[in-house]
Amino acid sequence: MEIPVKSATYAMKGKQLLHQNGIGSHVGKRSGEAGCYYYLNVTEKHAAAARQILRGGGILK
Amino acid sequence: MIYFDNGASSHPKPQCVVRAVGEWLQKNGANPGRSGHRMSVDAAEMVYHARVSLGALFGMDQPENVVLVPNATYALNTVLLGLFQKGDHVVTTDLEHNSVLRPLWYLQERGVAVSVVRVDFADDDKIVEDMMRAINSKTRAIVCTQCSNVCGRVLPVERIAREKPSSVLLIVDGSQGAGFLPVDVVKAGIDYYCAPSHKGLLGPQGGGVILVNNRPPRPLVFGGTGTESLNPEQPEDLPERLEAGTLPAPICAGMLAGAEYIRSVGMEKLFQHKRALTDYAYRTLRSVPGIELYMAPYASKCLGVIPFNMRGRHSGDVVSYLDQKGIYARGGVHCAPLFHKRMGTEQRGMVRISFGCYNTEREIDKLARCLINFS
Repeated sequence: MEIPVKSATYAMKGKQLLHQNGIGSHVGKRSGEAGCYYYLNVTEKHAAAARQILRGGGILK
Repeated sequence: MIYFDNGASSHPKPQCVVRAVGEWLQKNGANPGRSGHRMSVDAAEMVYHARVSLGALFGMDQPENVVLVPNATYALNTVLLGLFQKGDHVVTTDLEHNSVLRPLWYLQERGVAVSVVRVDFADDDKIVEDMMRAINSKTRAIVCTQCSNVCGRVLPVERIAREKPSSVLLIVDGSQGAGFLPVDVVKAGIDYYCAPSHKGLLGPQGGGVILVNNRPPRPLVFGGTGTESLNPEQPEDLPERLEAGTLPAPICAGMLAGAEYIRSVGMEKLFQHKRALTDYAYRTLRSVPGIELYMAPYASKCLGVIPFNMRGRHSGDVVSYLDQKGIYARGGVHCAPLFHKRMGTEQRGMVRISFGCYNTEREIDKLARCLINFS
């Protein structure tokens, strides 16, 4: 499951935050409506929890 | 060779810094924060760790607020030109480097009022009082150095932050303080702290940092950030808002290694080393016949930088002589015109010796012997 984030910096911050919470993730990049964006790839199982953690950390777009 | 020009750029660098730059060049040439392949993502991750590590030196735990720029001059220009407009008033000091003064004079020509406070060499209370007295209803900011690049006078930036009105921003030029003068930018309430990579932070030349502890200034440079490419404007979020263009990953690798080195040694230890060398140099050099030690009465308020002249001689003659003896110091006016005008040395300049973490008392003894021979 891909979760778009604000930037490469936030992707790294998010990856670290998820790791601290026991969720593994990978950083990737794609283009969308506003142009290029970075995302964090997590398993389907962890997606909801990851979103909540990332929202709490101000990481999400 | 004795290197006493650490105020211009520190030398030698720790071996871990040299190694980090070389190894990065060898193993990863990708553009950090631009592509999605593993090498580029690895580069972005290393840059992120550089932000974390540099921020940690100054109490900044939000790595996105650690903005990477080419040098301290660029950092200061970004902040100064990005915050003020016609009708604003800014307070600064007569110890400032041209990296502060020239952007301020540029702004002054465009309707920003600038007041220059004469720094009392002896009394911190007087410095703070004079700064507060210079503030008026239009004052947007105080801009000051953490430590003078010519005389080494350390300014009480934490007290200034505490005592200024909350409506007035504090912008600190940390060029001569970063890496050995401990300061918690967030706790102290410093709004913007600017520093170069290559002095006390022990990194390579070509890097600098802005610690943003308030709203971001307007961007100075516009361009690619690797994100929001269809948006005609710069992204709102830091650090990309202020980081248009490719970041120098090898420099960032060196900055990361420098910051880690400082953290492993301890900034307090580096401070104590510089304190001890400064005190020793003042004690030793005062026995040199004909030496004019301008800041000797205020030595306890100064750190790491000692300006002097030899009676009747131009500073350039002295540094040329020292150069022949293998001692590297700097003459001239050190990009600090107001200080030299105040001291009456704008023509003759001063000799400046500035210490780094590898200098020793023995090197100061050798300098003293050379100056005795010169005199």
